[in-house]
Amino acid sequence: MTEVRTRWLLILLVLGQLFLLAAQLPAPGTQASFLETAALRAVAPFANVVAAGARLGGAVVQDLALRRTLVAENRRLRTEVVELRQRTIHLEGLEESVLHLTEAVEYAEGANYPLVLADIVFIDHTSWLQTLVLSVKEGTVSVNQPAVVAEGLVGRVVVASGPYAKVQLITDRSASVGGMIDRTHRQGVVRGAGRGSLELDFVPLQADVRVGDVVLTAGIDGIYPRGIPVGTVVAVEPGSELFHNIRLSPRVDFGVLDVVYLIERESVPERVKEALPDEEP
Amino acid sequence: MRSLRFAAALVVATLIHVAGARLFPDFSSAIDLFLLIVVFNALDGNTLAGMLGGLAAGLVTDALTGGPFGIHGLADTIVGYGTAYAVQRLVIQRVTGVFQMFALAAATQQALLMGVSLLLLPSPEAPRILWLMVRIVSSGILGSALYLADKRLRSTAEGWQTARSSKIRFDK
Repeated sequence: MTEVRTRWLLILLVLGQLFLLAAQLPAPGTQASFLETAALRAVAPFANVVAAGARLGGAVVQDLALRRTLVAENRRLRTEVVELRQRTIHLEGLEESVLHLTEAVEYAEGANYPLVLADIVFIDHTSWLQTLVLSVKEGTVSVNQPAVVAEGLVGRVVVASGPYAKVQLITDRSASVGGMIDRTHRQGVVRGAGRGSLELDFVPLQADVRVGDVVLTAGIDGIYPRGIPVGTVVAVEPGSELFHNIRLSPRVDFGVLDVVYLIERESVPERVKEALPDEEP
Repeated sequence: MRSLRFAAALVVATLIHVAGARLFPDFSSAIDLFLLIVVFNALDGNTLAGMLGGLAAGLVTDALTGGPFGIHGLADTIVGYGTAYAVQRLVIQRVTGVFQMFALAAATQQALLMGVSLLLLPSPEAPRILWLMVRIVSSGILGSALYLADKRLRSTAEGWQTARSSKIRFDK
């Protein structure tokens, strides 16, 4: 096509488009021209494709972002779960300690003696729970320290060796405790009878003793302070001599112990116990 | 082949235009991809191709924008023809020349749009000078980049073709 013809075509196109433009103006809001409609029909699908692509892309990006967030969150939550589980275990331990301490405090309020918590690390089963081995802070335990729990008397320390201490239970046949009947304040000596039971000796026949009476420590033996529950009278029989045969059931179930409290109290020295009235101190 | 290439470029420009407008509301104010295609198409000096390319691209722009239908068609037709006409008479070898050509085309298009609007519309919108400048500059920059990329692509293709033909040996 020659340049002249092209120029004429240009003029024609420009005039045509001006005419088209002018034709649109007199009645704004009227229906669009055929050309405009056709052009829109031709171009709109591209916009639709882009919009759909953008929606899809946006959704994919959003999903990816969400996935990344979820993965990170999941990892964080897993770590948190582990930490919380550890914390729960720790708190359970603390709860147990608090319970023990609460018992100790309640007990201490009554006994007015400081208590030291000690874990039981070994129980001598071979001789029917007659000794316990405790884990203690080195140098804080001394021989003859009374061991108690909230329910009552457990025994006394017979060996203190470094971070360990051995406790002789009151049920041991060689153990004895100065006791008294709570109701009447009648005193006697509580002895281990083996098989987990106790006997209260040296209670005269004329003394009033009933099944169900609670026996406490009398505080007369120089080792145990007064008022710690020891046992309950389960049987009273007249003895062959001047005294009752009284059987006691220990207040403490030795089979369920995991900790004991050691009473920080100096026992009466043997020298003082055996001193004569006119002897120089 | 040329018209197919032009149609493909128009499709790509449409997609980018729509996507750009979705992502950045001012995209179409800052960049006119259709004008770039029109000017690039007219850079070989073919006035008929430039004019028809301008018409097609302008009508596509009209379909995508508001205002009276055909206003961009008219402006781009004249721009396409004018660019090809100018290229016939000017020797453009440097990138700065290409930049000026694209920037001038953008300015001309805007002037035509404003002129036609003033002629035909009862209350035409005043042009936003800042965006006008941005569009002129962006057209210059993007047009130059397009021109350079095309040049490099052609040179690479020619190099590859030369290397390929030099490997052919004829044994006697």
